[in-house]
Amino acid sequence: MTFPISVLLIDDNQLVLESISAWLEDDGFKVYAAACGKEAMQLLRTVPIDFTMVDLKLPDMNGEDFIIQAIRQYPASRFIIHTGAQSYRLSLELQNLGLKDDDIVYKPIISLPLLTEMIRSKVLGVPHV
Amino acid sequence: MMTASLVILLIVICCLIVNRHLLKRKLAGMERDLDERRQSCDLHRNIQLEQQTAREQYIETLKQSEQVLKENEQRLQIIFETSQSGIVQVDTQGLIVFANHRMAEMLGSPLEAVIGSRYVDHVHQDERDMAASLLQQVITGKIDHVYTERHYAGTGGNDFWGIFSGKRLKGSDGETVAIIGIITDISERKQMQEIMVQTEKMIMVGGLAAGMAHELNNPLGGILQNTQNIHRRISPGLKANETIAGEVGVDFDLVQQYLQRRGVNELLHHITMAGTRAADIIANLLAFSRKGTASLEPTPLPELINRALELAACDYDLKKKYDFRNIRIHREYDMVMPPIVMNSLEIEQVLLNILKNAAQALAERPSGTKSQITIRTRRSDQYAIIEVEDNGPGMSEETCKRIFDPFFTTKEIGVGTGLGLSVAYALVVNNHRGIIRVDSEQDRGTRFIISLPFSTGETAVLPLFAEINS
Repeated sequence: MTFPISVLLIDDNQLVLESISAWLEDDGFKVYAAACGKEAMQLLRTVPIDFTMVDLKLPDMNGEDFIIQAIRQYPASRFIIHTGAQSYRLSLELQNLGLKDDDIVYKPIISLPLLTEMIRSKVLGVPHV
Repeated sequence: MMTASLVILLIVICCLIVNRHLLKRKLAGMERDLDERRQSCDLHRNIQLEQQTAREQYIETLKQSEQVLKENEQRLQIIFETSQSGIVQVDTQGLIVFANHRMAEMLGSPLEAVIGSRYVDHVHQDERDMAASLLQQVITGKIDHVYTERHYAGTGGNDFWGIFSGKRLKGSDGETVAIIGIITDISERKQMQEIMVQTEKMIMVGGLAAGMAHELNNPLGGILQNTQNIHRRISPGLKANETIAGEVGVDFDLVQQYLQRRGVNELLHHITMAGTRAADIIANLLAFSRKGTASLEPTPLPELINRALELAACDYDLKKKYDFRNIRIHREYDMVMPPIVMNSLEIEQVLLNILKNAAQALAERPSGTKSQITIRTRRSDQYAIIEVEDNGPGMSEETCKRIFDPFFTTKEIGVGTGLGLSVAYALVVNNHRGIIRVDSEQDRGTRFIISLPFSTGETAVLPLFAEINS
């Protein structure tokens, strides 16, 4: 890999964004952060993103709706959900878009090395659909 | 001479006339007297007749009263013997002098043993003083009747809750002769109330948890994720660490040594531990608000239980303090029971939590006899019953009452979250429309009883509760 994997983190909680960014940057990823759906869309338009981690509760929209919109425009990118709701299950629409149960990361992230591993395998592994 | 004799004759005639008149009068008097006597005789006969009738009527009345009395007595006897409530008569010394069979049955003793025993001895010791003072007040006439809930101690630990309704029995002089009491077993109602209160509590905690957990997970993420960052940035292995150290002119190895000697890594580890524990608690709390419709599938109970047992055997937490493999597991499965429709992951979690609890309880029992957990499945009407029984130290009644309360724990600080059994409760009752309850006796063991309905449709609440005492 000549180019580092680019990761977009979307969360309105600054602490969450910064702590994960710091980790991923240390691991050599190129990290972008957005605090809302609109800002994230803007980033997706302007920079190539390999991997996007979306909080379910965004201030301007629902994280699921964001993925449904973005995945159609940027099918090459991987999208996963980051949520604090342990009972969250993928909606049928997201399943139809190719998301699986292991595309959900629960807050708080107890093991960041596992996140690194997950991003690498998802980006370098099989793409969606 | 003639004249003389005529005079004499005249006189004689006169005398005769007078005499006759007198006789007539006398006769009339006699007749009148006779009449009177006759009349008086009639009266007497009448009186005799009347008396006769009165006597007959009296006897008739007596016979009738006797019949009424007999019927009354029989009626009371039937009520006394068929009553589903216990009936007792307590004398002024506080001794039971009279009781029906139901009373004896409720107390779990033969009737002969109940008669002659002290009433207050049958009251649970928590309420004995109260009951004794109330009884005394009735005996002295201070109060006339009593209606109260009472906790009774049946023989062999078969406690029950009753409503005692009693009244003074007064003698002819108005003094108390005895107290007649009727005791109705309301244990089932009481249990139902407790279950309802518990359900309310759970719903409340569930609502709170759902709102809270989401908010807590973000700051927890900040703590746990940054701790991992700090740990990595002060450890060898990351190239950037050494580069920056070089840039600012410090020897990274020396930094390492410093941090080591000051125990900073250890302190960081403590933050991670505490944060992880908080995350566990939140994850457990979230189980309350989880809707149990995720994936319902027919699951054979033996398979499910065996899986839970395997999980328990390799559960790290459990192994840290107690070795599950040292506990003898006794399985009594109903092998013809059809599979139960359930969320098997949730019921597995329920069983695991109960097994953990049992293992921890067994660790507290004095060594000597072998620790044992018995898992039993059986059918009861529309429910599949799973019983998990241990021969541990058991629990006090107070603990039993609060066992499903969130954050209630008797374990030393740091061992339990006080949520394991509350989660079990929420999963069984809220998500499966089942029942979970506990029976325990100190020094003898504890038994959890889980009832799961065979059908997952709308199950009425009442039949569920009716199941409780089966």
